[in-house]
Amino acid sequence: MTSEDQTHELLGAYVLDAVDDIERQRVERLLASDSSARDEVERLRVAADKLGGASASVAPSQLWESIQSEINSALPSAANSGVTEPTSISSSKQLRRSNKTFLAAAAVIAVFVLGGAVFAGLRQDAKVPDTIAAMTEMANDAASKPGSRTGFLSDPDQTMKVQVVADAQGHGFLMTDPLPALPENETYQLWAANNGTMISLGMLGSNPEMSLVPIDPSVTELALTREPMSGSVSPTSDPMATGFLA
Amino acid sequence: MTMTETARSSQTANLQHSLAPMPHFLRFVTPFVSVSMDISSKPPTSEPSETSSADAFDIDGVVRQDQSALARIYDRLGGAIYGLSRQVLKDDGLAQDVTQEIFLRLWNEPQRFNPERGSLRSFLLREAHSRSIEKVRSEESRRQRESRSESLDRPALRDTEDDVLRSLTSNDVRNALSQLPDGERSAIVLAYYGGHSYREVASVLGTPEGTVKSRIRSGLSKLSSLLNDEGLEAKP
Repeated sequence: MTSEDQTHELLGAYVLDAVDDIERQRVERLLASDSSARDEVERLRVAADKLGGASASVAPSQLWESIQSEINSALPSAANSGVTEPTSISSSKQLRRSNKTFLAAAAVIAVFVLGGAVFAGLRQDAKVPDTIAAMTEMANDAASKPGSRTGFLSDPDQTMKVQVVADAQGHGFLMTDPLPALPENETYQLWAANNGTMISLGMLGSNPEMSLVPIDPSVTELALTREPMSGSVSPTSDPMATGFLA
Repeated sequence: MTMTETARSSQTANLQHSLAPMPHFLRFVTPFVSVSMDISSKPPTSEPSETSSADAFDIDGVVRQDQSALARIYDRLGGAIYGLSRQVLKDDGLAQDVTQEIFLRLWNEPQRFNPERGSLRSFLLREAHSRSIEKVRSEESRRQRESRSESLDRPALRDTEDDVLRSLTSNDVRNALSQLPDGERSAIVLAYYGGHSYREVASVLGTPEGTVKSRIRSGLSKLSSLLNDEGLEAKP
């Protein structure tokens, strides 16, 4: 039996995490060069994944609260790291961290094109016009494609207006006619509605001007609410604006 | 009451309240298929095919640091992750630690999940298994396990294997495992759920290491075929 054969014999144990570090490296070197080994590992992983899901049980009720507490306890440290205005890019910790240098339009576009539904609410900044221009171009491009839908969210008094473009691939563009700025501990949150159920489409930050959000092609009705900065599982206030996509 | 059950009951009240001034919101023509899922009514082992679109949607939400998105993922997959961790670690507290680590890591580094490489469920279960194995193989655990292994005779081993099989919440997986030859089933159960390396499995079973490697590989291959050919998923 050759060394390669011996490594092939390890594939099952590798999939089950039952090899040592040196053997794991051997297997991964083999996988890098051997497509049949990669195929076999993928096939074996099917079984391992089924084994993994076969022990499900009910997690202790306090576990989620503990996770949520950890997340929330980390938020102030991000806010205190020199970034005092979380309004530029949403409530995302990652995005807040990157506020220091601000997102370039190209980066926003690149991530969005790759399918990551990235939100960008924009504040007044030297680079903002370029970013808005780039995103507006993307939105216009999306609006011109087959299967795209458009609509407006507005309040009953028509004092707020949010233009929405959703393409057939589930990319949504929200262009706001500047919304009232919220306190820093609050965020706008976008919802899809269906049969009395509201599903969060994401938080837009406290002072959004333009946002990229995932909007499934089946979504027809949208609502915008103001929520605590960490977002809400369900709306905690009346919709500030509502609208349809068609 | 689960987190989303709580959320859902308040959601219903909130909706009635919040939608009152907007009656048109109660009229819908197109079903909201991909994301309007009654998540909390599902068993903890909901099927991957049902969650894929919701996974993609919620991962986008996690990228935007939307806690409600993470909450939905937790409701779908938290039980599976916790259950697997507990199965491997045999300790509720450690299993909770691992589950928390997995979700915090997803929250902080959602980009580590690549949907092209499999479902979110598979990704998180693999993370949970690997992390559980790391804990099992820590020095202290190793000493304890060695002590246990020394006293583990064949009848006790059979009991351990039977305990694992009885504890599985998926009849399909249990049935598929039962169709394997004894040696293959024992090797897989001890390695995967017991957290043993194949060398430890060989030692415990009194079987040559090469034989154990081969049995794990062939057994997994058969399991993959059994579960796929029968269209089986991880149903409870």
